[in-house]
Amino acid sequence: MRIRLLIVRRALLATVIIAAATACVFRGVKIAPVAHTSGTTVLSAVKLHLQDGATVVFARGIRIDGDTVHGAGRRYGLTDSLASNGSDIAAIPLDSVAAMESFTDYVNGTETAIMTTLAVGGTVLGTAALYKALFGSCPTIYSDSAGVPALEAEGFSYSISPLVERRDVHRLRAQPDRAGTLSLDVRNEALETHYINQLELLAVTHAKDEFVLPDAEERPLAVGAIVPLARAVDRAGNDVTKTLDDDDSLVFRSDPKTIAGVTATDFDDWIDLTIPVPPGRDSVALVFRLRNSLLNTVLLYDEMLRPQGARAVDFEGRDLNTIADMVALGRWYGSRMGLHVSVRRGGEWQEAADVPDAGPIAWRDVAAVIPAPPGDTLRVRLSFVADEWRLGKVSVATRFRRPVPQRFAPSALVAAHTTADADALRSVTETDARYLETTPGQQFTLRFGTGAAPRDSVRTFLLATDGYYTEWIRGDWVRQAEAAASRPFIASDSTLAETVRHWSSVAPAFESAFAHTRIPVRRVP
Amino acid sequence: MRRTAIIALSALALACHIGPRADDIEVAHSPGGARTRITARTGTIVDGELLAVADTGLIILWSRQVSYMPYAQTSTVTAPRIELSVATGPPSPADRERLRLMSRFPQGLTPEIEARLLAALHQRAVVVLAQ
Repeated sequence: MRIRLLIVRRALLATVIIAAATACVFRGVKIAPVAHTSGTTVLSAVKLHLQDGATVVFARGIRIDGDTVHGAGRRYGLTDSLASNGSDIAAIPLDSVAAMESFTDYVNGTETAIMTTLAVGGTVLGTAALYKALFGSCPTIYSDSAGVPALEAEGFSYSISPLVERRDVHRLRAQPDRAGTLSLDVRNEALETHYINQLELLAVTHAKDEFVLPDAEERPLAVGAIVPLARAVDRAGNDVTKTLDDDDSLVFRSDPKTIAGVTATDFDDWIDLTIPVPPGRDSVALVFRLRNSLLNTVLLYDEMLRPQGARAVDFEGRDLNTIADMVALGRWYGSRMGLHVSVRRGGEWQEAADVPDAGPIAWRDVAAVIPAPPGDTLRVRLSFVADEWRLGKVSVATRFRRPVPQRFAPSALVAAHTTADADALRSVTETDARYLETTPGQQFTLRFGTGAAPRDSVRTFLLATDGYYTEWIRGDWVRQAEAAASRPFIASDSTLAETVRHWSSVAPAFESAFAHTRIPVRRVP
Repeated sequence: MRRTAIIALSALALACHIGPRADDIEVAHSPGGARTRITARTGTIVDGELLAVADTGLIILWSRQVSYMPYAQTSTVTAPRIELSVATGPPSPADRERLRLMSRFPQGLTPEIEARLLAALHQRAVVVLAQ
């Protein structure tokens, strides 16, 4: 018993020391009006603003007795600055005071607790990689391919607040086993908390010569009669037709000259496509295989969060959950980021579709249906912020249809100890107020019963993911920002141009670190 | 147990402290209003002392002149511990209150104070920074 008590005490001591040594105490200054009431005493700095425009500073506080304010103050005239030194004053009639405010220190218990928890967690886990991890953005989905995990998709990549929670649909290569069960591993491999609202499987039965994928509005699309582009030329004048022709190791990325030329008023790259159109077609579907570069991740880490230091906690916890702030940020982000598809008509480019960001981890198949003006050749421009995208393949489907998918809710969620977790399963079955929350390093397996496979056709499965995530604020971001004077994030084109320039200088190292710093996963307890 | 407490308290001294104290905030011990940066929608940046907050704009001391910047011409406002985007509309009442408490004249620029201020700065009228 004594030994046990000793062990408990030592463990407690170790935890307290770690907590204290790694803790961050978040403090701030509260500025508040002071009531013009007799008996009021303020023990911190107070400024009085007199009816005549003069200002009196009481560095050590005031006491109001009857109709007089008492304290050790310095009075400054209408246009005096601190350099004028002011004059001593000890008492001021209350009726000459127009306004008073106090400046009081306080400790933000919530933020202190959050940051301390992160710091203690990081220390106790002892994972050096934790604070260096760069692998970011959303839950990653894997299937089992002959015993090897195959990356299938990443969910709700840019839903960084509950206000922008969104549903994504992803084409899967995975197929059910002989019993009709399709299994997927869902992992949290980033320094984020994931809030998963729903995971739903969609099945589309189709002909063998059709290819099924989501469109830009996250609806299933079955495409056929797929042809290559006649020609593709990027903004720098490079012929990139062969690069976009096949799903091989050739991947489009923006020309360094285009990236170097980015300014706050001109930050786009583009690719002009020439597409042959069969007679009688008034629309076609562009079929993309793409993913984002890490430019967006750098924007989130190095522009939105890191420079704000400790205030990034507020930014995530308050600003991103304030409708007006989020609308303004979302409007700016949506108008700049993503892949914008325009069609040449009547001598001008007309915007026809927007392909939303896909995330930087998994290749995504996505289609965009666009109008085809009369004529045998369609000219299309894909425009995007320079180096925001990696394009593996772009082709054209001249035949497409919108199938109605069969929907499957997960039949089991297997977490720790390979046992089914009914509560967690309920959390991800419907889009409702229940969320499954996962933290870095957690994973679980979802099973879907899909029934027997059709005999005369094939099925393609798509996974719908609905949720959002919050990025963890790294301790070194806070320390660096404090050392360099933190600055707020301003959503502007200047910021974007600066991000592209910054990205171009860090890209090789960032991409390498990104690939090597995934958080090791374990089963959800 | 006493030794445990002493060690724990010693370790607490190692904790980092993040954020300002009242002593660190210039506006707490200076007669002036907060140093404020206003970015106009045209991209022009105006740095000055925040004099007062009105319903329709900010009054600042810019280039030794009492100047008025309407919210309708303003993109962002940055003051110590305050960053506001007003590109899509004026600041909320709560944000205006935060700014007001950091201004030189939180009671507002009354006609009397304005007249005396303009006279002291040899200025005939408030400069309007709008285009």
